[in-house]
Amino acid sequence: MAAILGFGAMKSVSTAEPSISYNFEVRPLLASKCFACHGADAAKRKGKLRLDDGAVALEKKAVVPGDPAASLLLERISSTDEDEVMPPPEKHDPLSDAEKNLLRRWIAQGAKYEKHWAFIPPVKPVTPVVAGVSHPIDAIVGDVLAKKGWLPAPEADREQWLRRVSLALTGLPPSIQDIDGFLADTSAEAYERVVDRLLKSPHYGERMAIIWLDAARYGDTYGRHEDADSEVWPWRDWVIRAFNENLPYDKFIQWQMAGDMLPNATQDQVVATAFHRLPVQSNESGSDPDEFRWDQVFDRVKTTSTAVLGLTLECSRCHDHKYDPITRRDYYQLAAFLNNIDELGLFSRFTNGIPTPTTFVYKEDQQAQHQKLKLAVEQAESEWNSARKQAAGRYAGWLKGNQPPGTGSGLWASLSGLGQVPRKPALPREPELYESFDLVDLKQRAFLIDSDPSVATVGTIKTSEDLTGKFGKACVFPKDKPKKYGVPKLAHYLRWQPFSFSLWFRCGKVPEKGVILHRSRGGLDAANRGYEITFESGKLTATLGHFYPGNAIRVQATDDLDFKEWRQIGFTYDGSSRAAGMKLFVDGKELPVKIIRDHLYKDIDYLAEWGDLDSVKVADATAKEAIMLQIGGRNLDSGIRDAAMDELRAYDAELSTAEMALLGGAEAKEDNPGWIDWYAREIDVPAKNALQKLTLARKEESDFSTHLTEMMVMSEMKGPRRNTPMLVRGDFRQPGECVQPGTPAALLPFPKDAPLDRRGLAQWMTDPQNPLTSRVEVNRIWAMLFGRGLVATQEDFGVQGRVPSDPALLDWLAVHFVESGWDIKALCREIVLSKTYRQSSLPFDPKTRKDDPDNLLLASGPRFRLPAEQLRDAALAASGLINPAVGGRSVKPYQPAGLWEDSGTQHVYEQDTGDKLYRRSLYTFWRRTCPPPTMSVFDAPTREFCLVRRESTLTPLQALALMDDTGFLESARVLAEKLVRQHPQMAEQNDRVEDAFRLLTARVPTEVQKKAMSTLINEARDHYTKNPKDAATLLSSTGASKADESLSAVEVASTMLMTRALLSSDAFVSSY
Amino acid sequence: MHCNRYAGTRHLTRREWLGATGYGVASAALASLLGGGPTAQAHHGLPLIPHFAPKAKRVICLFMSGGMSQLDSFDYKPVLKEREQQPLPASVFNGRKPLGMSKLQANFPMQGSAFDFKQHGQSGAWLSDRFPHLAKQADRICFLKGMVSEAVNHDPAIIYINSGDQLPGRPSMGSWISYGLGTENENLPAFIVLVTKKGADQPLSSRLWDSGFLPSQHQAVPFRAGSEPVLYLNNPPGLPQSLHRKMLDHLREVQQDELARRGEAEIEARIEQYEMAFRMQTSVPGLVDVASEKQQTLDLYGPDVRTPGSFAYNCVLARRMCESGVRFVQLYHPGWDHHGLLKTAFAETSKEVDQPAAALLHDLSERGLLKDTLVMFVSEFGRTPYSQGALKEGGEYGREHHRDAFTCWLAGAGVKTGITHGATDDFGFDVVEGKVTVNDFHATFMHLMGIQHDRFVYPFQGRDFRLTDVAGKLVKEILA
Repeated sequence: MAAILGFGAMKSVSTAEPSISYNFEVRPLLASKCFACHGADAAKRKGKLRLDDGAVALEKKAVVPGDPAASLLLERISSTDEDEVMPPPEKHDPLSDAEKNLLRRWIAQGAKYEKHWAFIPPVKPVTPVVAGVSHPIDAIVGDVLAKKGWLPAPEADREQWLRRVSLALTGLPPSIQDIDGFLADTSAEAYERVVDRLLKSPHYGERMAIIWLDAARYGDTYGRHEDADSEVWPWRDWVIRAFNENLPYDKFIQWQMAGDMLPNATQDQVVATAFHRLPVQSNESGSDPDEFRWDQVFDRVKTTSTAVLGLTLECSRCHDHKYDPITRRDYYQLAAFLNNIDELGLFSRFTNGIPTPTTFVYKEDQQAQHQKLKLAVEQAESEWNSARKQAAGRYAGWLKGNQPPGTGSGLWASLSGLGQVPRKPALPREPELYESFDLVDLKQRAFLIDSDPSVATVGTIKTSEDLTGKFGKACVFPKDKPKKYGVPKLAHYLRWQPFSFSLWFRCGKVPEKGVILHRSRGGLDAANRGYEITFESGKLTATLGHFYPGNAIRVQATDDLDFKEWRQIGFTYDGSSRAAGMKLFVDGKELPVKIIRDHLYKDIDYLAEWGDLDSVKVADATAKEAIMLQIGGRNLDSGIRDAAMDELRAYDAELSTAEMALLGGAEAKEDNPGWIDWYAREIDVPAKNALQKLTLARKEESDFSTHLTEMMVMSEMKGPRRNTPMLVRGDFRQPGECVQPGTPAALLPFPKDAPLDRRGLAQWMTDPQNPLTSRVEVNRIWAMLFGRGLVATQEDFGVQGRVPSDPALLDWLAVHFVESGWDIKALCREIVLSKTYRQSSLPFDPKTRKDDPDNLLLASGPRFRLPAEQLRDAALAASGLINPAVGGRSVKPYQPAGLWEDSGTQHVYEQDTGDKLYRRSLYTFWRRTCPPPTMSVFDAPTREFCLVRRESTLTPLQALALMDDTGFLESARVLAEKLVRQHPQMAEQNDRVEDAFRLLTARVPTEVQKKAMSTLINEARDHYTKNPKDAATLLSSTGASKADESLSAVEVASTMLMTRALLSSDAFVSSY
Repeated sequence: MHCNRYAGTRHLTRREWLGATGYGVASAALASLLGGGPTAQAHHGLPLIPHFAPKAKRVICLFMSGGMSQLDSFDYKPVLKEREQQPLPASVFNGRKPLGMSKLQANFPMQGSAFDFKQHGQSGAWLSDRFPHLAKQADRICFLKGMVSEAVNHDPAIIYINSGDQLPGRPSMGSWISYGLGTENENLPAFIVLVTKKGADQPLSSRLWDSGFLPSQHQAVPFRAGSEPVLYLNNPPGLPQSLHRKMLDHLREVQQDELARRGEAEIEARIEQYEMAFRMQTSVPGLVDVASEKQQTLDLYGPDVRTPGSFAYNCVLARRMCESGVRFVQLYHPGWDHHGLLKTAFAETSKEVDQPAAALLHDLSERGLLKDTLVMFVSEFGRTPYSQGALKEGGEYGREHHRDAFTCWLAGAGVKTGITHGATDDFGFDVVEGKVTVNDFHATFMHLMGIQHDRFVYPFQGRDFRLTDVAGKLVKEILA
């Protein structure tokens, strides 16, 4: 009601009948009572009547402007007939007389419809003239108060304002020096000086970041199922930096939406896009990647619309929005902008691989170094190419006295058809691994490896199995039961190494999906780390991957192949990390392939450094499943059945087509061009050197990238956009018509010059004419400073949201903000220096509080409980324990033992030590399935989804946390030590109390309070003097920092009771 | 819908909402709290709730986490045994693709249960021989054999049955109850969670008992095994309770002086909050003192009962909490995700659960509590009638997740006793009668608590949300 009065007052209508605002009076009423059946949702619409659309209402004669009697709306709401009256009685939601009267008067006044207020671009209101007030904020607020006949509250005490503004802008309380300095500064600029100091502090960025971390659902883990660590803190660092450097808000949004697409994007611009990679992800085996990929997209739409536009679009996923002018098509058009990255939708279960797309986050000169190494690879590649060409010239000469192996008679010829079984691998290249499957250890029931018969391939052989192979025995994969063999130790190839495989293969029917061989840890959701030769969609496929799909190379045979008879399968790779460097062969002939993925930039190994081996302890990763070359199947994947394999060879070189032809039983005469490659690789010294140099350069680049920080970011897929179908009922299994990217037309047309991608979306969002973006941001800042937004529903500016408590003030701020160049620091400065903000939190007349309990009219200053982070930080600051370092990896301060361990997420909480325990709370590690309890208990969100407004509750658990959490206790103890050190004499006890008050509440205690706390110290001293052991126990059991043994334990313990009490006092936990 | 009583808009901030509905607060002074301020914890529910006289005053929910196999517990399917290892007929799939991990499976051999089934009680309910104690309680139980879910992975499914939605963010069922009905005991939370302390096979995230968009005081307070049942309950060593009390008294003097000068209701609320915390500190140790139970009673719950954190121990605690007026107690017992080695593992997990769950029914009944306490035995989904992978040595097998049919049961207040509602086909694959969706299940248990599910909404982000989303039908057939 206050809101409506406030607005009415603004209009200064002088007639007896004030004009009724459709937007602020009529529409909210219609929305609550009528729009469900007579609104935008065509499916639910009754009698084809829309009351939200003036034209339809007019046409249907629901409203006849100026003539209530003729208006059917009035007739129906006034009816006493149960079948006629609206809303229908079964809704149990009748209109009151006042509401009916409002509608009647609105129609009488002409039934003027307006577009919803928040969808009309803000216009700067004329600042009212109010005596003694110069600032527009104060003038607008003062005008409302004056019309109400209220006086503003007196100015807050200086100490109170200083504490309020220090916490508001830096999240930290003022020190005693700050307080004394401010009290002593009687100059006219004293207040401004404080504000400028605070805005310059690096802690300003930290404080501002927290609000955005909530909105962006920032956490340190992926959030679902096994909830592994996600390493996205570089994004948090960027947010802090952006605020500290006062990046204009339009840029702040543009970078996060599309920084990667800006011309010559800087690292910061790319890192900023991690904003869109923070939706929770799962890693459960058997998850459908499509389902979980859609969840990512849905969450991007939700977060973007809630955090930036103040709109809730979730309902339009399934149907047109019932209240706001957002259609289902609008929803999917927005989704289409955010649906074009090469992502899996899941994180990996078997590795700590970063879900793609990703970027390296370079430190110091790492980027230059990396660039240098990449150039060295390019250089070495070109040297190798020319060396090979030159070698080709020398090959003819070499041929005169020599012959390539295998072109005459001998073992190689035997391979190509003479039927002898080569026990020993032979020239032209020794395989690293040769497995004929002829040697069987019947005791172990396993095959022995020919190249090292002491090594058995893991697996069991049934003696009843028919082991007839292409040559001698074969490895058999039965029809009914999956079977796989591991080959330990050998064929551990990396992305910089050339390598090749050859094997003979037979199977009844080519499976849709089946693993022929691989070196990885698991299928389905392992994101395909390692190398593998598989059937995918029934086609022969080879993949090298760090994290599939975005960090991998994959080629796939274009033809369907039949393996009913024994055929050779070959694979070669040149170490280039490029799909073009991969070849597939059958029967010695190279297959035409299609490139499926071509972006590999991190190694395909499993490393402890990356946390692949021990971060998530997977139950099925037994020794048997340790990472090794495996044939015929894979953990959590489909193997091959009704099949057999023979003559498996692995080479640590890229075999030439000539060699592969021989291995495939085909001919390779000496004029086969493949022999030139063989010659260059094996014989020609300059070429051999060039190849060695190239391999070394690739290794160096790969090793360098291994140690880089990598993070999820946005990056558009190459080629055509991914289709975005409108999903029926939002169900990923029911794709409908496809849509192109687009923005809701009802809000603002898409800029003509903007590209139809994320850049354009960002441009549309930050267009000065966008009616929402600036209002939402100034409202967010206002809520941060006053504890309540001018629009109370910060998350919803739509028709169902609250109307602004002071529309003129909101619009003045919004327009002013855009005019200032979206300058957030300037906006904060403006507000905290206003008389409105500087008011005492106690109103001039206490009775006004009754009329306006939410302080909508701003007749007093803000009062609210400190957010969770500020409570802990203020305690750390007061005690002096705080570690003021800015930025960096998250830390693990005190937490009750066992919380993670008991949760089944298989994570162990390893509490940090030393000064990491005292870092500011925004650096506390945030496990989204089990958030830090001292934060949760004070209403911090779980960060699993976007939240732009925290509740403020009051529960006994909060009291327990303040009094008994190790962190708060340690602050109480260390503060007590400080006080005893400064005021060692018992006679100075009151000074201790006074200093504690000033440190914790910025003001001096009253005599009553001083006495109460002094008495507490005395009583505690009585106890601890009698029980000195208790004192020692208390001091030694409150935190990791060492107790100061030079001080009297009794004095410190007694004083600590006082500091512990004050840490719980309302004056400490509140800002007022 | 009561929220509409407030003119202007349905979308209120929580404070406005409280003001509009006359939210029950502990002290009259709190009604005039200032902007964004706190409210007292002792919350006695919403004024219009219950909508009608409730049958159940409180709930104990026994949650079998991991997806308990209905086919090895309560849904007896002899056909699977008779035709074991034969492929499940394609007609059963009826065009649906197998989901989850088994989508890679080449064939789907039927798998009978390794356990014997017998009928029990007058009702003749079928139970496998893994539940000898529950079998004796069969006539108290109402089996729901037609449960269906929509999710087939643990994470979405377990959130779904706890909150009515597969994505995180909605309030859990216990939070809704806490919010709607409030607490009966000012010293204890309305919603308490107890998780069996054992190696969990599937993660149990705090979101399962989170309050979502409801005020956060309605999230469950997890009680933990060990010396500190509630986080931060214990004063630090070296600070005796008597001195702690003195501290509180002097703190109260400080705050009262503040209150006298400023007259702000927050201060008063905070003073009261500390007193409540103190009462919790003094009442909780007694509550969790299971040792004070009679030997005879403890014996009922089986040998694990003296191990803090065991399911048996938690069942005794749950009963004690019920007696103390806790509205919603939820026990989580992990260990049901039997993709393999079901024969051994199911036997172990059921042994941990059977006797304590049966004892709980018996004990509640003996004390006259069962007539107004609803006991729910729930899992997030069931398991497939075909084996996951091939039959292994020793008759071992596994079953994949299955969402199209599973069994839950109810007992106690307002529920028909000794009945089975719903049935599956011969293979236990599909529900053929008495289908109960997750939303129906929620609608029904809320009805038992006197709540009409579609009238109990919370306005959030432009929409009236409810536990049953946009669906939910009361399962009238099971109401006594």
